[in-house]
Amino acid sequence: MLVNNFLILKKQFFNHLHAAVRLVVLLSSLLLAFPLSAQLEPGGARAEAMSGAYVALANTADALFVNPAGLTRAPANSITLFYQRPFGLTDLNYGALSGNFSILSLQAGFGAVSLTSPLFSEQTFVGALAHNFRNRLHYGIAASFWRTSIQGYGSSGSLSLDLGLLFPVSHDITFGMSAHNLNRASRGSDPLPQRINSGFSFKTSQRLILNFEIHKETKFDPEMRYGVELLPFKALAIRAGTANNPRRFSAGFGFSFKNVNIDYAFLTHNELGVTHKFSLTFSFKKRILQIEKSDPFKPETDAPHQLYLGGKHGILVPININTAWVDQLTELPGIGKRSAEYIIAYRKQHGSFVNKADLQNVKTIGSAVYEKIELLITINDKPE
Amino acid sequence: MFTRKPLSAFLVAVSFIFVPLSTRTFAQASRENLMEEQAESSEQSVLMDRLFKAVNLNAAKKQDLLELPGITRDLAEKIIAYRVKIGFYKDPEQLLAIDGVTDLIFGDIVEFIYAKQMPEVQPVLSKFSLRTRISNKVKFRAEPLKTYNRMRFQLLGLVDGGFLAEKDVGEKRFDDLRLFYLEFKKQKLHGIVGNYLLEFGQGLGMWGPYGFSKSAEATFALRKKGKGIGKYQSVDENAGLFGGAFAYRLSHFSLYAFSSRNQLDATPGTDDSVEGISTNTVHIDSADFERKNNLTETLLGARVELSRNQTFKLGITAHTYAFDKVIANSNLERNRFNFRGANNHIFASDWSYTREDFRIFGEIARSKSGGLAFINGVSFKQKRVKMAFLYRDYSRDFHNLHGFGFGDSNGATRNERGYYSGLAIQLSDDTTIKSYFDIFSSHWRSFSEPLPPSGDDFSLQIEHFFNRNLQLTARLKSKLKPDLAINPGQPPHDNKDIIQKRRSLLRIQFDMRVSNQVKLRSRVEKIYLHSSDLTGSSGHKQEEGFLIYQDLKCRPTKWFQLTGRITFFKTDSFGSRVFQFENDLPGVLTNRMLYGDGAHFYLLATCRFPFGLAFHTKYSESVSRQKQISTQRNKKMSVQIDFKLE
Repeated sequence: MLVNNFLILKKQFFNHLHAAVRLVVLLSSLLLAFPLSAQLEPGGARAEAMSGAYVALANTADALFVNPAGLTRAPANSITLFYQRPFGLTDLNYGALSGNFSILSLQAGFGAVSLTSPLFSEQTFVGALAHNFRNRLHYGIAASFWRTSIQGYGSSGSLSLDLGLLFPVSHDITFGMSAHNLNRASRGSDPLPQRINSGFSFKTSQRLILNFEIHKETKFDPEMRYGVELLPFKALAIRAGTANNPRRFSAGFGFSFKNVNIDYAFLTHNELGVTHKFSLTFSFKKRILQIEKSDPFKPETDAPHQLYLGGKHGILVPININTAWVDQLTELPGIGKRSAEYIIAYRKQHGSFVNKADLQNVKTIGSAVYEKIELLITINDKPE
Repeated sequence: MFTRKPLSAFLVAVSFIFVPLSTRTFAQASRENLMEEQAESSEQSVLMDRLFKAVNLNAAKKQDLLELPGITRDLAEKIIAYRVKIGFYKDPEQLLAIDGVTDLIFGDIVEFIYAKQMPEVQPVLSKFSLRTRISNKVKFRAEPLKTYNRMRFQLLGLVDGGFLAEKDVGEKRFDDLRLFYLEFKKQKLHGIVGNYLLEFGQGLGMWGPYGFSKSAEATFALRKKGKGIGKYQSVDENAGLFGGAFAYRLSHFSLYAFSSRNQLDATPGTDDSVEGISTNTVHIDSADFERKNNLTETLLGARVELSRNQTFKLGITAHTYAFDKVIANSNLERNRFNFRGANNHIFASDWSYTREDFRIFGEIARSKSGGLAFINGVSFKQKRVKMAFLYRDYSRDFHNLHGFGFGDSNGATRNERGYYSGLAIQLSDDTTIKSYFDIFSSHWRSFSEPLPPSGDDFSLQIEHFFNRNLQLTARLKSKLKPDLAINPGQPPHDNKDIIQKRRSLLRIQFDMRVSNQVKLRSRVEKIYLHSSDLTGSSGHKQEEGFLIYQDLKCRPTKWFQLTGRITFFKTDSFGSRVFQFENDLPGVLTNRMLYGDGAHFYLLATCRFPFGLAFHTKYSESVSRQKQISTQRNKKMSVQIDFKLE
């Protein structure tokens, strides 16, 4: 009886040993060819389609994973889901869910990521808070709880902290930075990666956004990422991206209708196969096109296609052309220092503006510029 | 990465443009650009005194205010206009009421300004200040603290004085280093007793231990402005003089006389000699104590200076110093022209002529051995262009313990010859280019090179404002300097042991102004170190280094300021290490060296309280892995309390 038990135990032990060996082989083959954590980044298909160049653009709920500060620019109360089968490996499944909502005057986000394989699975639960400081600086922190389990060996947990920043330099250039795992957490004895992402996003027009990012993870060489998003129609977005370490190319598209966005991306890699990623975004707030001046901390909630365009700096307050000074006037698109000074000179000479359209009488401000800013200005402090 | 010939051609073509930077950014840029070229042992406070003198807001002219970091012409005018309006400043913080003086600007200048009225009766004690600093390197077990205590005061409005007590990590006594001075200054007479330093001419004859040489600023701080007699309160134990110095001004002439009897640390040699003066002045174990104060130096000298207005200056300095023991300097081939003996005397003559758009300055000096040192520079200034050329030739047997000449090797006035040209151009209100090119060579082999080395150094910096909130600074620097292959056990005497090393740096930096209270900075830097041996036989090697950091500086109220930085870096080797100039406690200069693969962060907080009390603290932590083998963790914490009473 005892001998039998012993033999069973011995068999179980060897089974576990073989499983562990297979796991090690699987993981090391992945690690050798393709660093696991560096390539599986939680983020929707929109970020993936641009090869991850998302830190300065981050304006959807999945910004939680990439740059927590981006939550202040996401449409209020939305949920994003993504699913990915990395490298076409049928054994690996990677998916996540994230959502955001407002609390007091802050934006909060929650998320869960899951990576599963027959022997190894990891779940990450993320909570984040973000604040928009006077429309000038957006910052956020996120805390992630990692739960790793290897079959037969139990599981371990660890907590890591992330920090993110977003700074809209001008109406068309935004700077973003995020640093991950500041507290150097590790899963067991294996340290979790520490990363910093830093980059710019250029909104060259209403329909085209260019993103650039430098990504540095400890133990790896720095990586440069480029991404572009084009909106040929209001409801359709086409994206592409590339990065250099490891070299890869990605592309994707997205549809939006009513309150739903569907995105798809594929990523090619030299050695491993193609990755397909799908994501879905629901926005629960009704379409509100009006800009509410009374609550300057409420993020702009526009039609779903605006999810891509992200609005301006997340919050718009109509600028009163009768009381604004140069600083505020130059924030308007198409108005530079010279035009702003002309506006003020005109005001001094002719008194306050009676109609918004009178602005076109100011030197250097013609109908083209006026069209751009018509919705963003007011002649008194009442909302439109 | 670059080869010499096309580079020189390019530089000659480009070197006709000089442009002064817009005053808006000039002073602010120069502090960090100048400091990042300094070795970490330099004293930032001393260097800062060279750049930014303390300004009395009630007596300052517009020119004095413009010299403060971050003060533009517009702001200087406003400060003076406000002074006229309120009569006089009672407190520097009144500046914050001026439109345009933001919290951040105020924070940058607060160390250099004060508001003093001229009282009818001089109080007995005034300008009293105390500074205490404690740092803790969390690694050392025994005596992990480094402390610094300094006091300054003014008596009867005439006499300035100060004490300093400093202790390094590992030393036992808190006053391992003790310094004091008493300085008297009235119209014609200026005198100092205690620890002092002297700065005359261009630094070849007599200068203190710190100064500026090459930096990204290209045309700034090339001409030395000696302050004559000054106090010495730096923590370099072997520098500075101890005794008395006096200056008397008689119409166009100034007469100086000085004497010193100082004890230096020196490594004992055979018989009654010493090997050489120590560079390591930490006193921990018995060997250190054998070196401590082992050598006594007696120095005596005088100087005559003729100056007309602010335009013309001519000076002659002569001094002699003697040691109580002979300095031997081991009989190695490389030491053939080194200083040997127990005494030396220096004769030096310096000149300077300044006009609005043109300046010429220089010095020539001769030491007892017959060696000559010579430097001469000219600079031209036009509305948007500034140009400077410097030629230096320090012969191999010129010896001067107390000199600091402009050169590639900071501090040494020996064994170097070089041509330097610098250029600054203001292309527009938003864009400025600063560049320099230096070609240098030696007359004789030095400590590390078996053959006289020669090299070149090129720097180009472009600064551009996209708008009020975003500034881009791009820097390219490339320096070729031969080095020695590490060949343990064998004395180097072969060509094979020399390596040509070219170290190039490319930096892109964005400075972002979020608001009057918050500033951000992002920097990305790449280093290329290209090594090849002289004969070219064993091939080339390229090592790289990378750095990315994000800075945040915020001053939510005038009482509190917080600065933080996160850095990620990766270098292939120690050779391709990266440096970053860090903000630190007032008076501390930190040029951190990072190598391996890892991350670093620091947080610096300042609280200002009323009654002249300020509290500063800094915490930094770094982790780096070197070559897959070891992981180094470094933690450091330091605290400083400043108290100032007018």
